[in-house]
Amino acid sequence: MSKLQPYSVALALIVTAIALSPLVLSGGNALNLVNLILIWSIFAIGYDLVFGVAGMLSFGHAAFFGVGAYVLTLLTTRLGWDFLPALGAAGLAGGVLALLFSFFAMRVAGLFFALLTLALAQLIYILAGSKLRDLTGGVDGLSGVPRPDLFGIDFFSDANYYYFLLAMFVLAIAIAGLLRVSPFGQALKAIKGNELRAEQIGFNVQRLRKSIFFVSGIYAGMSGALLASLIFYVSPQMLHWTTSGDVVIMVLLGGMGTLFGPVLGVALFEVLREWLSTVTSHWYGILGLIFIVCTIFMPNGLAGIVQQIWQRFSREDRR
Amino acid sequence: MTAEATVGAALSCRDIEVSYGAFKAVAGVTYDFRPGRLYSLIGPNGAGKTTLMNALSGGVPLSRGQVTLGGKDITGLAPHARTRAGLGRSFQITQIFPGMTVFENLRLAAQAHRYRLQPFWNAVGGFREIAREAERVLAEVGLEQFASVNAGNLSHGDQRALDVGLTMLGDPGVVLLDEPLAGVGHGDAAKAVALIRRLAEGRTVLLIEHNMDVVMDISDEIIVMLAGKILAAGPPEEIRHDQRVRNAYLGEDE
Amino acid sequence: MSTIVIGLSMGLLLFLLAAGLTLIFGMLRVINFAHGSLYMLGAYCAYQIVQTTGSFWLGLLVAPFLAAAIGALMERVALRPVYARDHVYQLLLTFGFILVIDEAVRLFWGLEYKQIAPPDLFSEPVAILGSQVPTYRLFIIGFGALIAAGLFFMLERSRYGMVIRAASGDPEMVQTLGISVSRIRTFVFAFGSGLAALGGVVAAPLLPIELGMGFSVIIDCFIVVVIGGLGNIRGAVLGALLIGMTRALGYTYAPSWVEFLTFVLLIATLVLRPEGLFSRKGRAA
Repeated sequence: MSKLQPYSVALALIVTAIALSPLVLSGGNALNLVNLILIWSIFAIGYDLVFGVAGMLSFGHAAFFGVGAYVLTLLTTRLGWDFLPALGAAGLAGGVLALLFSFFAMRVAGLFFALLTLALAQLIYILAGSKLRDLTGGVDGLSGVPRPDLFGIDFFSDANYYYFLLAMFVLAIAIAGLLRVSPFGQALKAIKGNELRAEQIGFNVQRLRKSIFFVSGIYAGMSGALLASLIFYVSPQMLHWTTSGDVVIMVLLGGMGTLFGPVLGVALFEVLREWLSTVTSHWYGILGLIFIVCTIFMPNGLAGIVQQIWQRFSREDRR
Repeated sequence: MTAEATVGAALSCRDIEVSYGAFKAVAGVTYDFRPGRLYSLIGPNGAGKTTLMNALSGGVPLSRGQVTLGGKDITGLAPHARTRAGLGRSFQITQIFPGMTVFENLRLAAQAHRYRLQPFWNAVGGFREIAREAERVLAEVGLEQFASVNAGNLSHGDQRALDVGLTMLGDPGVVLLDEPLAGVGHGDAAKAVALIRRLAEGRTVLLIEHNMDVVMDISDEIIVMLAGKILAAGPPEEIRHDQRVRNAYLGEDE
Repeated sequence: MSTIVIGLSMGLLLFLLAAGLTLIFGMLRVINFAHGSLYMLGAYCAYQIVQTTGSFWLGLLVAPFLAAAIGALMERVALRPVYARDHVYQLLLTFGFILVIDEAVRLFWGLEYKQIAPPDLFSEPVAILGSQVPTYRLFIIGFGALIAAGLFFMLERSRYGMVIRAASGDPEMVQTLGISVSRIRTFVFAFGSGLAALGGVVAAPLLPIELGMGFSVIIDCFIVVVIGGLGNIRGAVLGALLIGMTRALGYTYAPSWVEFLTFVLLIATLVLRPEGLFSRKGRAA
């Protein structure tokens, strides 16, 4: 690992600190916050595989997220499946739906791709709220989403569920990290850097893009399912386009195209939400302002700032 | 006239046509490129040279005709599939991966050729064979000392060399080069011509080039295009004295 | 008959919005996600002005200028610094403005929906070919057609339009002619924003004025401009009328499928002809 950049070590440390904070923090609120951060991080890491690594702006990830949540809920509550297989099915459902989206959306590029994914996701949202009301519970949603039942541990306690989520989070980040440095991830980076050249050296651009969209859909589906089980509830709101918007904001705040940036973004987003919503009921607007300012002045997000600080320190070291 | 490709041609096209609405950028071109020879494609701006090259490499869809590579029909293949089938291509504007090092650039080309499904279960450094392949081509294009330099920071001439390296990596039997000397300074031009000569050994090369001295010097055959059609084709001496070519170029030659 | 009137009025209303969106895209290559929010802002302004002064017409005059000022601010402060970057950033910025504008509306006017009546002039329906038609709908058709004609005149006959068209086609060239492209960009963005608010004011007497109205309309706008071809004003007219009629017919015959069908129309257009139904091939962005 000669190319291990020191600053990514710094990022990894920060992320580890966030992930392990419940061990020292007490109080149900803080724990709930960390659990939320872990779940949304899985979503954001998966989203960034498409956005930051492969360079595709999707506004449709809410669909994979919400459908994953519904698949877990319906399989466990109606068909009596166990939690883990249902979680796997939720991921698969997210992935397959993403693949389906990609068959339509990848016929166009850039802004049209963003619009098309948005439209497809919104179509699912409308269907869920109207035509599929029997299945989705309509605007009321469905409650009673279960949590895992393993080794006799009581995962209905948030403190125990934290460990399950932490394990899923570590797994998610490890797989994403491997994908990024693998030939597959390198090929995607190449496509983002120069699509024409990537195609002309023999990469099957469309297939590679569809593959990463599939993987990203799995991440979204699983994280959606985990969120439903954290709050014991799922509703079409999870399918709404603002969910897609939220994950874009998180990734951009944290730093797109980096492994740990999305996690920082999620942490910042959730902490801001937690903090601002106690101060004012207009936190979403303030978040919008913060987002605008960050997009203009720090396009590389928090990860970019960590990198800059790191470079300043390491330069002073050399003096 | 039958649409059969000539036996033994490395690359051939049969009556191909590329149209944009009513405008025909390539209006029925039939040609056989024989193995191991270096062809130059010349003609005034707008004659359809680059479009013809795109039609051969799969960059634009044909409205009519057939392209075969080594006797196999590749008309319906996407650009990446043609590359895999042994048809290399470089572009008028340098096309490299600027955010990556020179070595990483070449390694990408190596993995594109070696794997149909890109491996995802191990870091790219764990695949020795593609690294070796990249190193071999790195030496071939003379960029060893820049291996770990960001490709975006190379001089223009070296970027062109890297571009050629990317094109060469899968050892394609047929290579299409669109103005490989464009923007290359006088000092580097000789180096670039030497590189082209080297890569042309044992390969079929089609070159678009405006520098007539270079064209006359290195070509086995010259193809002159005008208004989407082949006006004349033959060895440099023949083309130099062809009356139609002289007429077409009158006042347009640089 | 009333279905046709409703369809036409919806279509022309949509055109007001879509024209702004497509003008902005043509000039700046930005899809303004916040366009619907500006429309909503227009409607709320109209409500406020009717509440305080009692005059709908004053609202129609003032709200577009207010929105234009906000649009100019958006372009200057937020978009200008990122033109050099990928278009994705500009899209994301306009997305950020949705959050801000929506929140501002919530702050000032709260969550309950508002309503205003059409101006007194149009309170009585008239009978056309045996069916009762609200006169306000007829006003929308007339007004929309007037604005459309004005737009065409401005873009295709006036010097202003010539400069704008030249600048969308080749900004560097126009810049070298000594015309400030950045000023044109600000103007076009402000102008488009004003059109959105104008649409909002015109729509205000027809709909409940509420927070969600921005998003539902932006999707329709996307459909119109995509069908018409992004950046293509003529296409926007045809697209808007097509969607307006489709909606009107849909509400009459298959109300529960309307949303679904419009989305399918959008998706089909994007997949099959991303350059728009009414533009010549090769115009794709």
